[in-house]
Amino acid sequence: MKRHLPLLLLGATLFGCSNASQEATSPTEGVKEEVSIPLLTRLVPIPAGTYRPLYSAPGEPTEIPRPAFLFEEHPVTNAQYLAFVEANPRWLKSRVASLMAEANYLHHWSGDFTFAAEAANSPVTNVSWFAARAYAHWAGRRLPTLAEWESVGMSSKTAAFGRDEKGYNQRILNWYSRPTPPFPEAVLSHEPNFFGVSDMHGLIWEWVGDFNSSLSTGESRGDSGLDRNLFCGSGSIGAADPSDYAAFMRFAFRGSLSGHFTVNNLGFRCAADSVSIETASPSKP
Amino acid sequence: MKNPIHLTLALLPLFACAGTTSEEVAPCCAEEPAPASPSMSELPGTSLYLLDGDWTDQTGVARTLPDFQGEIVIASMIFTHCQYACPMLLQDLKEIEAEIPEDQLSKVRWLLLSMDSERDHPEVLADYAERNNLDTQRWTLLHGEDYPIRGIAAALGINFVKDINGNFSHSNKISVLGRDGSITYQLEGLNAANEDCVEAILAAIDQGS
Repeated sequence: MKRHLPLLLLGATLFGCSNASQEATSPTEGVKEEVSIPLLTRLVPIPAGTYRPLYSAPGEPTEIPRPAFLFEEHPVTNAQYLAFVEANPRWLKSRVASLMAEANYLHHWSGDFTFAAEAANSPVTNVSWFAARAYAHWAGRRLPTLAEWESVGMSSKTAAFGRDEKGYNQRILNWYSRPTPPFPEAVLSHEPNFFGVSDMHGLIWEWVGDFNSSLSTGESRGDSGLDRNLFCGSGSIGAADPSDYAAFMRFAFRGSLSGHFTVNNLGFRCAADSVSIETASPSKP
Repeated sequence: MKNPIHLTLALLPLFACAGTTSEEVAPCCAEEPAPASPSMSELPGTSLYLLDGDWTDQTGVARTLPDFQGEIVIASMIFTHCQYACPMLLQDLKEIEAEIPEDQLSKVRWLLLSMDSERDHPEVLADYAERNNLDTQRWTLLHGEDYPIRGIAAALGINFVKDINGNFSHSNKISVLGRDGSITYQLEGLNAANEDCVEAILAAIDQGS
Protein backbone atom coordinates (compact mmCIF):
# COMPACT_ATOMS: atom_id res chain seq x y z
CA MET A 1 0.00 0.00 0.00
CA LYS A 2 2.06 2.91 1.23
CA ARG A 3 5.34 3.51 2.94
CA HIS A 4 3.80 3.27 6.36
CA LEU A 5 6.70 2.26 8.50
CA PRO A 6 9.14 5.08 7.82
CA LEU A 7 6.34 7.60 8.12
CA LEU A 8 5.20 6.28 11.44
CA LEU A 9 8.76 6.40 12.71
CA LEU A 10 9.05 9.95 11.48
CA GLY A 11 5.78 10.77 13.21
CA ALA A 12 7.05 9.32 16.45
CA THR A 13 10.01 11.68 16.48
CA LEU A 14 8.00 14.77 15.68
CA PHE A 15 6.96 15.93 19.10
CA GLY A 16 6.76 19.62 18.62
CA CYS A 17 6.64 22.38 21.10
CA SER A 18 3.24 21.15 22.11
CA ASN A 19 3.05 20.72 25.83
CA ALA A 20 0.80 17.75 25.27
CA SER A 21 2.70 14.54 25.50
CA GLN A 22 1.06 11.51 24.02
CA GLU A 23 0.42 9.97 27.41
CA ALA A 24 -1.07 11.81 30.30
CA THR A 25 2.31 12.12 31.90
CA SER A 26 3.89 15.33 33.05
CA PRO A 27 3.60 18.02 30.39
CA THR A 28 7.29 18.29 29.65
CA GLU A 29 8.09 14.61 29.53
CA GLY A 30 8.75 13.26 26.09
CA VAL A 31 8.99 16.68 24.48
CA LYS A 32 11.99 16.73 22.19
CA GLU A 33 13.95 19.72 21.08
CA GLU A 34 13.30 19.27 17.33
CA VAL A 35 10.25 21.44 17.51
CA SER A 36 7.72 20.80 14.78
CA ILE A 37 4.09 20.85 15.78
CA PRO A 38 3.11 23.77 18.01
CA LEU A 39 0.20 23.60 20.42
CA LEU A 40 -1.82 25.54 17.89
CA THR A 41 -1.15 24.92 14.23
CA ARG A 42 0.59 27.60 12.20
CA LEU A 43 -1.86 29.74 10.22
CA VAL A 44 -1.19 30.27 6.53
CA PRO A 45 -2.55 33.41 4.85
CA ILE A 46 -4.86 32.61 1.95
CA PRO A 47 -5.40 35.58 -0.38
CA ALA A 48 -8.84 36.58 -1.59
CA GLY A 49 -10.00 34.47 -4.47
CA THR A 50 -13.04 32.91 -5.98
CA TYR A 51 -14.95 29.81 -5.15
CA ARG A 52 -16.71 27.78 -7.82
CA PRO A 53 -19.60 26.10 -6.04
CA LEU A 54 -20.31 22.55 -7.08
CA TYR A 55 -23.99 23.37 -7.27
CA SER A 56 -25.50 26.66 -8.31
CA ALA A 57 -29.02 27.67 -9.14
CA PRO A 58 -29.81 29.04 -12.59
CA GLY A 59 -29.06 32.76 -12.74
CA GLU A 60 -26.63 32.57 -9.84
CA PRO A 61 -22.96 33.24 -10.57
CA THR A 62 -20.77 30.18 -11.07
CA GLU A 63 -17.92 31.96 -9.30
CA ILE A 64 -18.37 33.57 -5.90
CA PRO A 65 -15.82 35.93 -4.35
CA ARG A 66 -14.13 34.40 -1.34
CA PRO A 67 -12.43 36.86 1.03
CA ALA A 68 -8.89 36.36 2.28
CA PHE A 69 -8.55 34.32 5.44
CA LEU A 70 -6.05 32.39 7.53
CA PHE A 71 -5.98 28.62 7.40
CA GLU A 72 -4.20 26.06 9.55
CA GLU A 73 -1.52 24.38 7.49
CA HIS A 74 -2.51 20.88 8.60
CA PRO A 75 -5.39 19.15 10.40
CA VAL A 76 -5.54 19.20 14.22
CA THR A 77 -3.54 16.28 15.62
CA ASN A 78 -4.30 13.90 18.48
CA ALA A 79 -1.63 15.60 20.61
CA GLN A 80 -3.12 19.03 19.93
CA TYR A 81 -6.62 17.79 20.68
CA LEU A 82 -5.39 16.32 23.96
CA ALA A 83 -4.45 19.82 25.14
CA PHE A 84 -8.02 20.92 24.41
CA VAL A 85 -9.74 18.16 26.37
CA GLU A 86 -7.32 18.67 29.25
CA ALA A 87 -8.48 22.27 29.48
CA ASN A 88 -12.15 21.47 28.84
CA PRO A 89 -13.28 18.40 30.78
CA ARG A 90 -16.77 18.46 29.29
CA TRP A 91 -15.13 17.21 26.09
CA LEU A 92 -13.47 14.22 27.74
CA LYS A 93 -14.26 10.90 26.12
CA SER A 94 -15.96 9.72 29.31
CA ARG A 95 -18.00 12.88 29.86
CA VAL A 96 -19.12 14.23 26.51
CA ALA A 97 -22.88 14.76 26.09
CA SER A 98 -24.52 12.40 23.62
CA LEU A 99 -26.25 15.37 21.97
CA MET A 100 -22.83 16.62 20.87
CA ALA A 101 -20.92 13.42 20.15
CA GLU A 102 -22.04 9.87 19.58
CA ALA A 103 -20.64 6.90 21.46
CA ASN A 104 -17.68 6.41 19.12
CA TYR A 105 -16.24 9.81 20.03
CA LEU A 106 -12.43 9.41 20.28
CA HIS A 107 -12.94 5.70 19.74
CA HIS A 108 -9.23 5.29 18.90
CA TRP A 109 -8.15 6.71 22.28
CA SER A 110 -7.71 4.11 25.00
CA GLY A 111 -8.76 6.52 27.75
CA ASP A 112 -9.62 10.13 28.49
CA PHE A 113 -5.99 11.20 28.02
CA THR A 114 -4.34 8.28 26.25
CA PHE A 115 -3.78 7.11 22.72
CA ALA A 116 -1.09 5.17 20.87
CA ALA A 117 2.21 7.07 20.81
CA GLU A 118 2.52 6.76 17.04
CA ALA A 119 -0.80 8.58 16.62
CA ALA A 120 0.37 11.77 18.37
CA ASN A 121 0.98 13.68 15.17
CA SER A 122 -1.73 12.04 13.14
CA PRO A 123 -4.91 14.01 12.56
CA VAL A 124 -7.44 13.53 15.33
CA THR A 125 -10.51 11.69 14.01
CA ASN A 126 -13.68 10.33 15.58
CA VAL A 127 -14.57 13.89 16.58
CA SER A 128 -18.01 15.39 16.06
CA TRP A 129 -18.74 18.74 14.47
CA PHE A 130 -19.74 20.10 17.88
CA ALA A 131 -16.38 19.01 19.26
CA ALA A 132 -14.47 20.43 16.31
CA ARG A 133 -16.03 23.84 16.62
CA ALA A 134 -15.62 23.85 20.40
CA TYR A 135 -11.90 23.25 19.80
CA ALA A 136 -11.78 26.09 17.28
CA HIS A 137 -13.59 28.39 19.70
CA TRP A 138 -11.15 27.50 22.47
CA ALA A 139 -8.24 28.21 20.16
CA GLY A 140 -9.64 31.67 19.34
CA ARG A 141 -10.31 30.47 15.81
CA ARG A 142 -13.25 29.05 13.88
CA LEU A 143 -14.00 26.22 11.50
CA PRO A 144 -13.52 27.07 7.81
CA THR A 145 -16.58 27.57 5.66
CA LEU A 146 -17.32 25.04 2.97
CA ALA A 147 -16.36 27.67 0.38
CA GLU A 148 -13.02 28.32 2.10
CA TRP A 149 -12.18 24.65 2.41
CA GLU A 150 -13.14 23.75 -1.15
CA SER A 151 -11.42 26.75 -2.70
CA VAL A 152 -8.12 25.79 -1.05
CA GLY A 153 -8.78 22.09 -1.61
CA MET A 154 -8.97 22.54 -5.34
CA SER A 155 -5.43 23.85 -5.64
CA SER A 156 -2.60 21.63 -6.79
CA LYS A 157 1.05 21.90 -5.85
CA THR A 158 1.66 24.54 -8.48
CA ALA A 159 -1.65 26.27 -9.19
CA ALA A 160 -4.39 27.91 -7.13
CA PHE A 161 -6.92 26.25 -9.38
CA GLY A 162 -5.52 22.81 -10.02
CA ARG A 163 -8.73 20.97 -10.60
CA ASP A 164 -8.27 20.97 -14.37
CA GLU A 165 -4.75 19.59 -14.09
CA LYS A 166 -4.16 16.12 -15.42
CA GLY A 167 -4.10 13.64 -12.58
CA TYR A 168 -5.57 16.01 -9.96
CA ASN A 169 -8.85 14.17 -9.59
CA GLN A 170 -7.27 10.78 -10.03
CA ARG A 171 -4.88 11.30 -7.12
CA ILE A 172 -7.74 12.21 -4.82
CA LEU A 173 -9.94 9.39 -6.03
CA ASN A 174 -7.09 6.91 -5.59
CA TRP A 175 -6.98 7.94 -1.95
CA TYR A 176 -10.76 7.74 -1.56
CA SER A 177 -10.63 4.17 -2.83
CA ARG A 178 -8.00 2.99 -0.36
CA PRO A 179 -9.12 1.39 2.91
CA THR A 180 -8.76 3.50 6.04
CA PRO A 181 -5.59 2.60 8.00
CA PRO A 182 -5.74 2.22 11.83
CA PHE A 183 -4.29 5.73 12.11
CA PRO A 184 -3.95 8.29 9.37
CA GLU A 185 -0.36 9.21 8.50
CA ALA A 186 1.28 11.97 10.50
CA VAL A 187 0.47 15.46 9.29
CA LEU A 188 2.96 17.26 7.04
CA SER A 189 4.14 13.99 5.53
CA HIS A 190 3.50 15.28 2.02
CA GLU A 191 4.33 18.38 0.03
CA PRO A 192 2.07 21.38 0.64
CA ASN A 193 -0.21 22.75 -2.07
CA PHE A 194 0.06 26.07 -3.89
CA PHE A 195 -0.99 28.02 -0.80
CA GLY A 196 1.44 26.25 1.50
CA VAL A 197 -1.35 24.18 3.04
CA SER A 198 -0.83 20.45 3.56
CA ASP A 199 -2.96 17.34 3.81
CA MET A 200 -6.13 18.66 2.21
CA HIS A 201 -6.45 15.30 0.50
CA GLY A 202 -4.89 11.99 1.35
CA LEU A 203 -5.19 11.68 5.12
CA ILE A 204 -8.71 12.41 6.30
CA TRP A 205 -12.00 14.11 5.47
CA GLU A 206 -12.58 17.37 7.32
CA TRP A 207 -15.51 19.10 9.00
CA VAL A 208 -16.48 22.56 7.82
CA GLY A 209 -18.45 25.06 9.88
CA ASP A 210 -21.46 24.99 7.56
CA PHE A 211 -21.45 21.28 6.81
CA ASN A 212 -25.22 21.36 7.26
CA SER A 213 -25.79 23.75 4.39
CA SER A 214 -26.30 21.04 1.80
CA LEU A 215 -29.88 20.84 0.62
CA SER A 216 -29.45 17.78 -1.47
CA THR A 217 -29.23 14.37 0.06
CA GLY A 218 -26.16 13.56 -1.97
CA GLU A 219 -27.99 10.62 -3.49
CA SER A 220 -27.26 11.42 -7.11
CA ARG A 221 -30.07 9.42 -8.63
CA GLY A 222 -32.78 11.08 -6.56
CA ASP A 223 -31.40 14.61 -6.54
CA SER A 224 -32.51 16.02 -9.83
CA GLY A 225 -34.34 18.74 -7.96
CA LEU A 226 -35.40 19.82 -4.52
CA ASP A 227 -38.37 18.46 -2.68
CA ARG A 228 -40.06 21.75 -2.00
CA ASN A 229 -41.95 20.36 0.95
CA LEU A 230 -38.70 19.57 2.72
CA PHE A 231 -36.58 22.42 1.48
CA CYS A 232 -37.30 26.03 0.78
CA GLY A 233 -35.09 26.33 -2.29
CA SER A 234 -34.88 28.67 -5.22
CA GLY A 235 -35.95 26.28 -7.92
CA SER A 236 -33.84 23.63 -9.50
CA ILE A 237 -30.19 23.41 -8.73
CA GLY A 238 -27.62 22.12 -11.16
CA ALA A 239 -24.04 21.03 -10.84
CA ALA A 240 -21.47 23.52 -12.11
CA ASP A 241 -18.75 21.02 -12.91
CA PRO A 242 -20.09 17.50 -13.35
CA SER A 243 -16.58 16.18 -13.95
CA ASP A 244 -15.43 17.00 -10.44
CA TYR A 245 -16.29 13.62 -9.10
CA ALA A 246 -14.11 13.96 -5.99
CA ALA A 247 -16.00 17.09 -4.95
CA PHE A 248 -19.28 15.25 -5.48
CA MET A 249 -18.07 12.59 -3.08
CA ARG A 250 -17.20 15.18 -0.44
CA PHE A 251 -20.53 16.87 -1.00
CA ALA A 252 -22.40 13.60 -0.63
CA PHE A 253 -20.39 12.68 2.46
CA ARG A 254 -21.13 16.02 4.15
CA GLY A 255 -24.79 15.65 3.26
CA SER A 256 -24.89 12.35 5.12
CA LEU A 257 -23.51 13.78 8.37
CA SER A 258 -25.19 15.00 11.53
CA GLY A 259 -23.44 17.30 14.01
CA HIS A 260 -22.89 14.56 16.59
CA PHE A 261 -21.54 11.95 14.19
CA THR A 262 -18.02 10.68 14.66
CA VAL A 263 -16.23 8.90 11.83
CA ASN A 264 -12.84 7.21 11.93
CA ASN A 265 -11.44 9.17 8.99
CA LEU A 266 -13.14 12.50 9.67
CA GLY A 267 -11.21 15.26 11.45
CA PHE A 268 -10.87 19.01 11.07
CA ARG A 269 -8.61 22.03 10.94
CA CYS A 270 -9.33 25.62 11.97
CA ALA A 271 -9.39 28.92 10.14
CA ALA A 272 -9.35 32.56 11.22
CA ASP A 273 -10.32 35.88 9.73
CA SER A 274 -7.60 37.86 8.00
CA VAL A 275 -6.61 41.16 9.53
CA SER A 276 -5.98 42.78 6.22
CA ILE A 277 -6.54 41.55 2.71
CA GLU A 278 -3.59 43.60 1.44
CA THR A 279 -1.02 41.86 3.59
CA ALA A 280 -2.13 38.38 2.63
CA SER A 281 -0.13 36.68 -0.05
CA PRO A 282 0.27 33.05 -0.96
CA SER A 283 3.32 31.32 0.37
CA LYS A 284 5.02 29.89 -2.67
CA PRO A 285 5.83 26.22 -2.53
CA MET B 1 -15.02 39.49 14.08
CA LYS B 2 -16.93 40.05 17.29
CA ASN B 3 -14.00 39.92 19.64
CA PRO B 4 -10.90 41.80 18.57
CA ILE B 5 -8.82 40.04 21.19
CA HIS B 6 -9.44 36.73 19.51
CA LEU B 7 -8.15 38.15 16.28
CA THR B 8 -4.88 39.26 17.75
CA LEU B 9 -4.40 36.02 19.58
CA ALA B 10 -5.19 34.02 16.51
CA LEU B 11 -2.23 35.63 14.84
CA LEU B 12 0.28 34.79 17.52
CA PRO B 13 0.80 31.23 16.32
CA LEU B 14 1.69 32.57 12.88
CA PHE B 15 5.14 33.04 14.25
CA ALA B 16 6.94 29.76 14.30
CA CYS B 17 6.81 27.99 17.57
CA ALA B 18 10.43 28.61 18.42
CA GLY B 19 10.63 28.83 22.17
CA THR B 20 6.90 28.57 22.58
CA THR B 21 5.96 27.11 25.90
CA SER B 22 2.61 26.08 27.20
CA GLU B 23 2.64 29.14 29.45
CA GLU B 24 2.86 31.47 26.47
CA VAL B 25 0.18 29.75 24.49
CA ALA B 26 -2.23 29.10 27.28
CA PRO B 27 -3.81 32.59 27.60
CA CYS B 28 -5.36 32.34 24.16
CA CYS B 29 -7.00 29.12 25.06
CA ALA B 30 -9.80 30.26 27.27
CA GLU B 31 -11.96 27.69 28.96
CA GLU B 32 -15.17 26.96 27.18
CA PRO B 33 -18.03 28.78 28.89
CA ALA B 34 -19.14 26.85 31.93
CA PRO B 35 -22.74 25.64 32.09
CA ALA B 36 -24.93 28.67 32.73
CA SER B 37 -26.99 27.43 35.63
CA PRO B 38 -26.27 24.89 38.33
CA SER B 39 -29.29 22.82 37.34
CA MET B 40 -27.73 22.25 33.93
CA SER B 41 -25.45 19.61 35.31
CA GLU B 42 -28.57 17.52 35.89
CA LEU B 43 -29.66 17.75 32.28
CA PRO B 44 -29.44 14.52 30.30
CA GLY B 45 -26.78 14.26 27.60
CA THR B 46 -29.48 14.53 24.95
CA SER B 47 -30.74 17.93 26.13
CA LEU B 48 -30.56 20.82 23.68
CA TYR B 49 -30.15 23.07 26.70
CA LEU B 50 -26.52 21.94 26.90
CA LEU B 51 -25.78 24.10 23.84
CA ASP B 52 -23.93 27.34 24.46
CA GLY B 53 -25.27 30.54 23.08
CA ASP B 54 -26.82 33.88 23.88
CA TRP B 55 -30.13 34.79 22.33
CA THR B 56 -32.40 37.82 22.45
CA ASP B 57 -36.17 37.52 22.35
CA GLN B 58 -38.61 39.71 20.45
CA THR B 59 -38.88 42.10 23.42
CA GLY B 60 -35.10 42.62 23.46
CA VAL B 61 -34.55 40.51 26.59
CA ALA B 62 -31.43 38.30 26.72
CA ARG B 63 -32.30 34.62 26.81
CA THR B 64 -30.47 31.31 26.95
CA LEU B 65 -32.02 28.01 25.95
CA PRO B 66 -32.10 26.62 29.52
CA ASP B 67 -34.64 29.39 30.29
CA PHE B 68 -37.21 27.12 28.70
CA GLN B 69 -36.47 24.19 30.95
CA GLY B 70 -39.71 22.88 32.49
CA GLU B 71 -41.89 23.83 29.54
CA ILE B 72 -42.88 21.70 26.59
CA VAL B 73 -41.18 23.47 23.70
CA ILE B 74 -42.18 23.27 20.05
CA ALA B 75 -39.08 24.52 18.23
CA SER B 76 -38.78 25.61 14.59
CA MET B 77 -36.36 27.72 12.58
CA ILE B 78 -37.48 30.50 10.26
CA PHE B 79 -36.39 33.78 8.74
CA THR B 80 -38.93 36.58 8.56
CA HIS B 81 -38.19 37.56 4.94
CA CYS B 82 -39.12 34.06 3.81
CA GLN B 83 -41.80 34.18 1.14
CA TYR B 84 -42.53 30.54 0.63
CA ALA B 85 -41.81 27.94 3.26
CA CYS B 86 -41.88 29.82 6.55
CA PRO B 87 -45.46 31.13 6.18
CA MET B 88 -46.52 27.55 5.50
CA LEU B 89 -44.51 26.28 8.44
CA LEU B 90 -46.16 28.88 10.64
CA GLN B 91 -49.56 27.80 9.37
CA ASP B 92 -48.69 24.19 10.21
CA LEU B 93 -47.69 25.25 13.72
CA LYS B 94 -50.94 27.17 14.22
CA GLU B 95 -52.93 24.15 13.11
CA ILE B 96 -51.10 22.03 15.65
CA GLU B 97 -51.69 24.68 18.31
CA ALA B 98 -55.42 24.58 17.53
CA GLU B 99 -55.45 20.87 18.35
CA ILE B 100 -54.09 21.34 21.87
CA PRO B 101 -56.83 21.59 24.53
CA GLU B 102 -57.25 25.12 25.88
CA ASP B 103 -56.37 24.13 29.46
CA GLN B 104 -53.06 22.62 28.34
CA LEU B 105 -51.86 25.52 26.22
CA SER B 106 -50.12 27.32 29.07
CA LYS B 107 -47.70 24.39 29.36
CA VAL B 108 -46.50 24.72 25.80
CA ARG B 109 -43.95 27.21 24.45
CA TRP B 110 -43.87 27.85 20.70
CA LEU B 111 -40.30 28.77 19.88
CA LEU B 112 -39.27 30.33 16.58
CA LEU B 113 -35.50 30.63 16.19
CA SER B 114 -34.39 32.90 13.37
CA MET B 115 -31.53 31.74 11.14
CA ASP B 116 -31.13 35.30 9.82
CA SER B 117 -28.69 36.91 12.27
CA GLU B 118 -28.25 39.98 10.08
CA ARG B 119 -31.83 41.07 9.54
CA ASP B 120 -34.02 39.46 12.19
CA HIS B 121 -33.32 41.77 15.09
CA PRO B 122 -35.72 41.75 18.05
CA GLU B 123 -37.87 44.58 16.70
CA VAL B 124 -38.21 42.78 13.36
CA LEU B 125 -39.26 39.65 15.21
CA ALA B 126 -41.77 41.61 17.32
CA ASP B 127 -43.27 43.02 14.14
CA TYR B 128 -43.41 39.56 12.60
CA ALA B 129 -45.21 38.20 15.68
CA GLU B 130 -47.76 41.00 15.48
CA ARG B 131 -48.36 40.62 11.75
CA ASN B 132 -48.93 36.91 12.21
CA ASN B 133 -51.13 37.26 15.31
CA LEU B 134 -48.81 35.26 17.53
CA ASP B 135 -49.72 35.42 21.20
CA THR B 136 -46.35 36.26 22.74
CA GLN B 137 -47.51 34.84 26.07
CA ARG B 138 -47.00 31.47 24.42
CA TRP B 139 -44.82 32.25 21.39
CA THR B 140 -41.21 33.32 21.74
CA LEU B 141 -39.06 34.46 18.81
CA LEU B 142 -35.29 34.41 19.20
CA HIS B 143 -32.51 36.34 17.51
CA GLY B 144 -28.94 35.06 17.81
CA GLU B 145 -25.50 35.22 16.22
CA ASP B 146 -24.35 32.73 13.60
CA TYR B 147 -22.47 30.52 16.06
CA PRO B 148 -25.48 29.55 18.22
CA ILE B 149 -27.70 29.45 15.13
CA ARG B 150 -25.50 26.82 13.43
CA GLY B 151 -25.36 24.91 16.70
CA ILE B 152 -29.10 24.69 17.30
CA ALA B 153 -29.66 23.92 13.61
CA ALA B 154 -27.21 21.02 13.79
CA ALA B 155 -28.85 19.75 16.97
CA LEU B 156 -32.33 19.97 15.41
CA GLY B 157 -31.06 18.44 12.16
CA ILE B 158 -31.98 21.49 10.12
CA ASN B 159 -29.87 22.33 7.05
CA PHE B 160 -29.75 25.84 5.66
CA VAL B 161 -27.71 27.90 3.25
CA LYS B 162 -27.72 31.64 2.64
CA ASP B 163 -27.90 32.82 -0.96
CA ILE B 164 -26.29 35.91 -2.45
CA ASN B 165 -29.43 37.97 -1.74
CA GLY B 166 -29.29 37.18 1.96
CA ASN B 167 -32.20 34.77 1.78
CA PHE B 168 -32.06 31.19 2.95
CA SER B 169 -32.78 27.81 1.57
CA HIS B 170 -33.59 25.61 4.52
CA SER B 171 -35.16 22.37 5.60
CA ASN B 172 -38.48 22.50 7.43
CA LYS B 173 -38.84 20.69 10.69
CA ILE B 174 -40.99 20.97 13.80
CA SER B 175 -39.37 19.56 16.95
CA VAL B 176 -41.08 18.71 20.23
CA LEU B 177 -38.81 19.09 23.28
CA GLY B 178 -39.64 17.58 26.64
CA ARG B 179 -39.19 19.52 29.87
CA ASP B 180 -35.49 18.61 30.01
CA GLY B 181 -34.84 19.85 26.46
CA SER B 182 -34.56 16.44 24.81
CA ILE B 183 -36.23 15.96 21.44
CA THR B 184 -39.21 13.63 21.78
CA TYR B 185 -40.63 13.98 18.29
CA GLN B 186 -39.87 15.65 14.95
CA LEU B 187 -42.21 16.43 12.09
CA GLU B 188 -40.47 16.89 8.76
CA GLY B 189 -41.70 18.80 5.77
CA LEU B 190 -44.58 21.14 5.11
CA ASN B 191 -48.27 20.24 5.14
CA ALA B 192 -47.46 16.94 6.76
CA ALA B 193 -50.13 15.06 8.69
CA ASN B 194 -49.94 16.47 12.22
CA GLU B 195 -51.82 13.87 14.32
CA ASP B 196 -48.63 12.22 15.55
CA CYS B 197 -47.14 15.59 16.43
CA VAL B 198 -50.20 16.58 18.49
CA GLU B 199 -50.07 13.18 20.14
CA ALA B 200 -46.38 13.68 20.97
CA ILE B 201 -47.06 17.10 22.52
CA LEU B 202 -49.85 15.75 24.70
CA ALA B 203 -47.65 12.83 25.73
CA ALA B 204 -44.85 15.24 26.63
CA ILE B 205 -47.27 17.30 28.73
CA ASP B 206 -48.37 14.16 30.57
CA GLN B 207 -44.78 13.08 31.16
CA GLY B 208 -43.90 13.95 34.72
CA SER B 209 -46.67 16.51 35.18
